[in-house]
Amino acid sequence: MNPYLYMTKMKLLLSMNYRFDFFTKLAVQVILLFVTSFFWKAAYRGIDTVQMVNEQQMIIYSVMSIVLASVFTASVESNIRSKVRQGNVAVDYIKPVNVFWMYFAEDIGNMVTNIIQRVAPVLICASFFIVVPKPVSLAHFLLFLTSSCFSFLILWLISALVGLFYFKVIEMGPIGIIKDYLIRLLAGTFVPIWFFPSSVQTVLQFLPFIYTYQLPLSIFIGRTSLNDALWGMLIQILWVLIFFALFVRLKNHVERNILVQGG
Amino acid sequence: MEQKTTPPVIKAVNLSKEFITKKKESGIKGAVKNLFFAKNTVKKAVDGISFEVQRGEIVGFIGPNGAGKSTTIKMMCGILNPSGGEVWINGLSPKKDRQVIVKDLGVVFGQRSQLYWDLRLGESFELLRRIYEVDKAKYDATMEDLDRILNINDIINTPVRQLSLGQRMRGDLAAAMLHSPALLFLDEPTIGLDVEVKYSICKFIKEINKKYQTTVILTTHDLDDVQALCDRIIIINDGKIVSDSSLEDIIDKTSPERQLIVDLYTDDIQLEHPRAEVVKIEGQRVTLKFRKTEISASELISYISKQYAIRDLSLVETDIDDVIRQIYKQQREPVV
Repeated sequence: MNPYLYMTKMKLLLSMNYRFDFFTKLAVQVILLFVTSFFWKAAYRGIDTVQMVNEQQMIIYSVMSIVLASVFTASVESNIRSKVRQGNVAVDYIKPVNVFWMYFAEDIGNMVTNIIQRVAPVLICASFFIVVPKPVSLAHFLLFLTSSCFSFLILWLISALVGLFYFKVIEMGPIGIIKDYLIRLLAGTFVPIWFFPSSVQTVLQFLPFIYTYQLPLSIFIGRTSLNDALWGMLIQILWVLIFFALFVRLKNHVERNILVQGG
Repeated sequence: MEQKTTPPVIKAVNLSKEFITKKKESGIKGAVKNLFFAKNTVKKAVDGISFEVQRGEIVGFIGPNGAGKSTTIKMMCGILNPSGGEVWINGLSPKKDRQVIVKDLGVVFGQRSQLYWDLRLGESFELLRRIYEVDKAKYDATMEDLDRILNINDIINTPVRQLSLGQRMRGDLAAAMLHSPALLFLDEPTIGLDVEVKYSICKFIKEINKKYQTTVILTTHDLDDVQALCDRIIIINDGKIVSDSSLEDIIDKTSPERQLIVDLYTDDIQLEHPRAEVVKIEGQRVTLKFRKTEISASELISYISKQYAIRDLSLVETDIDDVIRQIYKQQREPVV
């Protein structure tokens, strides 16, 4: 088996180990599920459609948003952070592997774990108590899946870029967490961007965030037409390329001037 | 002839590493000042060292804390880039060919572990087997070997977090040797370990060196390890090599004198010898100082026994701790 695949498998085994973590996170998601659905039900009271989206679609949007958020994990950043602080990057660099491929493989492992552990319970819970999150059509569903993969790549690269900064500055305080929430907010996970003022929307068109969550989600509920979906994915690919180029440059710089703490 | 043509496993020429540290001033006023005007100071951790290591050597790197030993090791594995000079491992530069070099390199950092904390030890081995592309048959053979010396099979199914320090260290050593590397870097492998584990680790290093001609670079503060293992000792202090020779040479050069303590049956002692010096006479006990190069211990003993009946005797070797401490003190003045 390819070593990177094996790392994915190990990460899978590893994250299956934590039962307490599994149950608490699941509980949080279920609570979030109910809160957002009640919120949208209240918001839509007496209103049929807003911005081409009806209540049913909006609730599916928020359910799927929770599903996506529970699947997407990019632990590169926190991984690098703790490894740099403890000087354990050294241990990764003595292996004949591409270190970032290794981190990526581990994150894929985390993601597979999440799909197994989180997606099913959230979907079942939503289907029984809230709404059956059904895609508009098979074509929309397939595009949603593909687009989600690009979303993950964008998110992962952003996380890796922030992670690389830890080599330089060691500590950035809560910037990592702020970044996560900012992305979630600007990506339309809580409230879709189409509810934002149009000037804000225009600005966000040119930023990568809406291409992480909002694009796949609005494809899923059918707000984005198949044609627009393809265009959106083209922009996603563009962002992946931009971030990848940045990442490679920064990574080379860091590896040339790598900083190993202690010892 | 053949010996001479093989290139050195490690060749370092004028290797240096500077660290830029921000100079921090103390106190609240200083802290505020630090925030805005951080002063950079350059610290030379490694300052132009050169050496060569041949295949099959066991070389001990010793020196006080912060002397630059670990930094040197890190530059040799390609984790740190030198700020000056060059190092070649098997003719390759770790800066450019890190992935190629580490393929044939085993590294153990005594204070860090490359094992997966939450999984059973065997799982980490399985991953390493795939990373280093060791085929199953070879892996099994190596594991059998490692088990014989380090008793790995006793702990292979235990999660790493439940291992004691000594067990973890055995695991880490095995992990570093899984792919039978030709070169092994051990950075303080015996730190905090009990005598038993230390002994088995030393035995392990000796065996692999003998069996596979593995070149071993060892940094340690434990001079017993050095004495037990190393043919050659490089002493580093303040980023410079202050001595590079065998332990015996170091002892001969720095404190060539040994002591002989003899207990006799009489307290009326009159003893003299042209090549030995009587240090003190206390009751029935005589202490003599002599140089190994001038007179052998047996010669001296037989000389004494001709005059007096000897009840008991002991030969005091030079304490290597003292010798090394002496060298640390003579900073920058090359001893050899």
